[in-house]
Amino acid sequence: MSVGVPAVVRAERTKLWTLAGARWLLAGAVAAQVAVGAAVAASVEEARAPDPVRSSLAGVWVAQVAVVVLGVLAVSSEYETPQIRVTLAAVPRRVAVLAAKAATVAALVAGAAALGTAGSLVAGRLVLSGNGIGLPLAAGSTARAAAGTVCYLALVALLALGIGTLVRDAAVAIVVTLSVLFLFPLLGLVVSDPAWQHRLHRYAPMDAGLAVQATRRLGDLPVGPWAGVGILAAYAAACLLTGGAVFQARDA
Amino acid sequence: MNFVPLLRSELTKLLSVRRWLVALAAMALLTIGFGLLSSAGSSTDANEQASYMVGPSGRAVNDQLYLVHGPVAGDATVTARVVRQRASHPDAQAGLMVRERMASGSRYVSIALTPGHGVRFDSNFGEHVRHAGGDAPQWLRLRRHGPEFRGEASADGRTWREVGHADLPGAGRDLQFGLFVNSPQRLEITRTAGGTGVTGFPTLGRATFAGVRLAPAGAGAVREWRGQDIPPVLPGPSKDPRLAGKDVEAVPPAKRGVSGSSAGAVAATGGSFTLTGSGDIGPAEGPDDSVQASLFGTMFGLMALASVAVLFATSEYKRHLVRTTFAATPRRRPVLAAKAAVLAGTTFALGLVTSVAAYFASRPTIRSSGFTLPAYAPTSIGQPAVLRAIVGNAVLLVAFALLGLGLGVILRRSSAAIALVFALAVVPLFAGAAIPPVSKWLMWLTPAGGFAIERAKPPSAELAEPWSQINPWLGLGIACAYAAVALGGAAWLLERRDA
Amino acid sequence: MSPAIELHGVRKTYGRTVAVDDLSFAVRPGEVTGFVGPNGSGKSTTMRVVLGLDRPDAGTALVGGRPYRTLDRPLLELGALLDAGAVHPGRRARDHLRWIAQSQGLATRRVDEVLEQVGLASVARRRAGDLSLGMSQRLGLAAALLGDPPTLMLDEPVNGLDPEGIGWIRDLLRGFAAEGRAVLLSSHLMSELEGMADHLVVIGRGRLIADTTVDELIAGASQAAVEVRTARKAEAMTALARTRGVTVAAVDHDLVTVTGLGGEEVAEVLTAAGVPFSELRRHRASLEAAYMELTRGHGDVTAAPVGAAGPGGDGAA
Repeated sequence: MSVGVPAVVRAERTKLWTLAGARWLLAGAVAAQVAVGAAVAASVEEARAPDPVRSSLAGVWVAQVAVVVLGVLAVSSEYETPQIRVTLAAVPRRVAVLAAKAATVAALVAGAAALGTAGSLVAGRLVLSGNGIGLPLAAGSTARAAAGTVCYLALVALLALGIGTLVRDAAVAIVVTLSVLFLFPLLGLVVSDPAWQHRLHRYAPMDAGLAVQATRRLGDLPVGPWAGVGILAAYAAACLLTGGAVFQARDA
Repeated sequence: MNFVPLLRSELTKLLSVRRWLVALAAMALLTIGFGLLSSAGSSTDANEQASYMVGPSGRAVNDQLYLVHGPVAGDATVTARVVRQRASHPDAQAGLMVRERMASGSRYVSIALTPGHGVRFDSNFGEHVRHAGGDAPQWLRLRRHGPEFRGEASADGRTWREVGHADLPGAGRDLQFGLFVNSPQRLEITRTAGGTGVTGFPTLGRATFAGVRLAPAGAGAVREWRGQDIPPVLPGPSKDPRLAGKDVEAVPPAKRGVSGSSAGAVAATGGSFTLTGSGDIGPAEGPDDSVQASLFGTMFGLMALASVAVLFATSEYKRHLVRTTFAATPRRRPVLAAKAAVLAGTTFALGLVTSVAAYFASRPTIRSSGFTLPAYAPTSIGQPAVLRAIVGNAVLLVAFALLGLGLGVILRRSSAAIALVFALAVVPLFAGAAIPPVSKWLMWLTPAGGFAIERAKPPSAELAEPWSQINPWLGLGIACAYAAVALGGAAWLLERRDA
Repeated sequence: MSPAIELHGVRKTYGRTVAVDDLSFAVRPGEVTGFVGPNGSGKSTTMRVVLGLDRPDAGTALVGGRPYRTLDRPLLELGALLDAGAVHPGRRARDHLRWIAQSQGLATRRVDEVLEQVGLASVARRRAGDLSLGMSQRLGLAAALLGDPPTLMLDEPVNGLDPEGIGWIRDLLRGFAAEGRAVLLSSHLMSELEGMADHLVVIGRGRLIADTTVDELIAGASQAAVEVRTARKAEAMTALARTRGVTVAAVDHDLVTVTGLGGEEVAEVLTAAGVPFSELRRHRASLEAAYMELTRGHGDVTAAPVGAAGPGGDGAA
């Protein structure tokens, strides 16, 4: 008889939570999100106030680095030692292992992201009100931006987990994930062809996924708010599924 | 102790792990590949849009000024004292000019005082720019001897120092000598997330000249000189006022010229002239940099390199390999020094080859993207600025590699060290592009500013790329400083820590 | 002759844990010195201190009369094997030895020699991560032998070796000592050292328990015991037990051990009681028994059962 799914999830939660550095990474993600968000909000001037909500939530750029490391470590740490053999001896159904890991990582990151996002909005509101700019906490668009930010970070963690499962090595997986996230939008900077620029912003996982943070001038976005989250989710799903298939086929 | 065996030992270590060799090859391929991609994506329609003034070398130029001039035959010297100059713009010019023709884009030699940058000597739109210190009042002198011209400055009119000299080969006997004033547009740049907006506001320069002399005696009379806008203000002929003796000519008030043209005037009182004028002289090339576009892939290649650099350090800790290393060489700092030297040497060699390859590989794409004359001068690897960008790029890679090595030794965990290298080298670029108010600060404070070295053109605030705002050497220096601090910290910790 | 390795009052703590406390001993040339103590007793820590990897909080460790960190080409003075897993898994076995040789300015020829010597020549081009435990152990040994050093220091070298490998290493080390070189060899199993070590340094909880030769240790542990073989065991035991301070134990159906009496006295008592006996001899303890005897009363120092080779003894780090 095989063990139930809740038991596998519980086991993965214990493993991740007791991983050296996991708590530090989560705490770092929350702290970075709030601190950077507040700093960016402080730089917003009334005259050119672009989008107070988005500025307050800007800490996500830095927070996601910690989230990526966590997502990758959740699986790569198993391969640093022969621990993966212990894991698979205990739960031979590999899909269950990966699914449990995904659920655990997503839940932990979402929890931290919710904390960080709430903190960012509160901090942003305090900082912005000092400059005479209002941040409507109760507005629907603010709620969408906040929920979207939490989804964004959870999906980034899943993307990292998928890539981590695929390549196993922590260093390589972190580099690949961060490159996928950051370097395509940067390419958009140097590319001056507007058609290319639009394509890059629309289909780069970070730009698309963060479109949901916008609360003003939604028409200017290269992609609709939730559609952008969908694009990021597609990346994450593709990586997880590929990672899962390889995990299933590969010798441990 | 002999350092050479240590170097050989570390080189063997670096080159005997297949994954690292693969990653180093990936660095080269990513750099070249993304350089091509970014070159293909960076197109410009500058040549199709505007009508250009074309300078003697076929490049687009600005040639806007107000000139009070007359023809002078043969060798001559013109001297004048700039008594006052309005600080309309740091690069506003008030001084002496010799030009071949009055048409825009003509060859010239000039020496002028600027409010912000002392005395400036120049010829043919940036061919021989030389600067020297100096404030108003300032004596200026421009001497012709055959095809050779010397620009000199003096604080008192007695002791002269040469600021610069230039040739106008094949210049005819008759040239236009004169006084000129201009003042470039003040640019207001608004940075928004992912882009910049540039608005230009014309400024009006104004300067008073006294003691204007032409020598030798037969060279001509300053009295006969007349004022003229370059390019001529359209439509209709401008009223070039003749200057006659002590009379004060009534001149039309500053005229609004067509876009970009000068709108000058002159008033003469006794031996002194007061000129007003606006515009700019120099190359009119946009700040976007095709050399930077071909080297842009470095950012991608960097991540492959950083992982090798970090792992070169952290792999020692992963299985206590460091015990074998330090048992073989108990003096730890030489080990770190050897590691750093081997990594730096390898990275520099590979980085240099890769940068040169990326530069040449992207040339055809760059040209077909519209980076051609007159709007964009062709670049060649022989140009100092291009060579600096390419060699500097290799040095930048070395700095990032050493930063990774140092952080790897300090943190001992590859995941943490790589994430930190990334956070220092790449996140600021993105944050800078997305959060305009902090972009320049971020470039000053993080090694990401090092990417400034990839530009072959002067710093410019007009571009969205945050690193283009800062001085290339400053940026590279910051990156190197980060590497030095990381290595220093590593050396310090290494001696104090148990292996 | 000066000691190959000497420790004077070495103390090393990690946080609040005292790994090694006031440890002094010397390793002499021409001998195999066994360094014994249970897992976690501080053997590996001591060896790291000797190699200058860890700084002692007090005391000094010298190799050939000098601190290890001052040696120019240390692998020519001391070859050490601490942890056979300390290799980069992606590097070929030969490349692993090559960088070590280069760091000492040794010719690559020497690498091939030691690969031959430890029997790894055929797998030299295999990646270190693909080697079996026994092969890794041999690779680690090859690294220790590279500099042809006068002194070897090996931490649990027989771990993971098959009986043939153990025999091979025993012959190698005996030969090494016979050439007048010094060997320090750690083990948490005294039985492994039987027939290999001449001299023993026993530690428990980081403290020195014994620094003695194997013969002395066994003699010390056997001193008081006399074995008596007799068909009338019960009578013999009754007779002997009457004497004050004597313990008698039945070992076999016709064998008893007596402690508290010398051999002659036993013979006297048995003769007086009219109990015949066929054999009377000094009991010679096994090395393992002597070790048990020695470490009894040293708190948590408990020897592992003979033959149950545990996984790697990584010491007290």
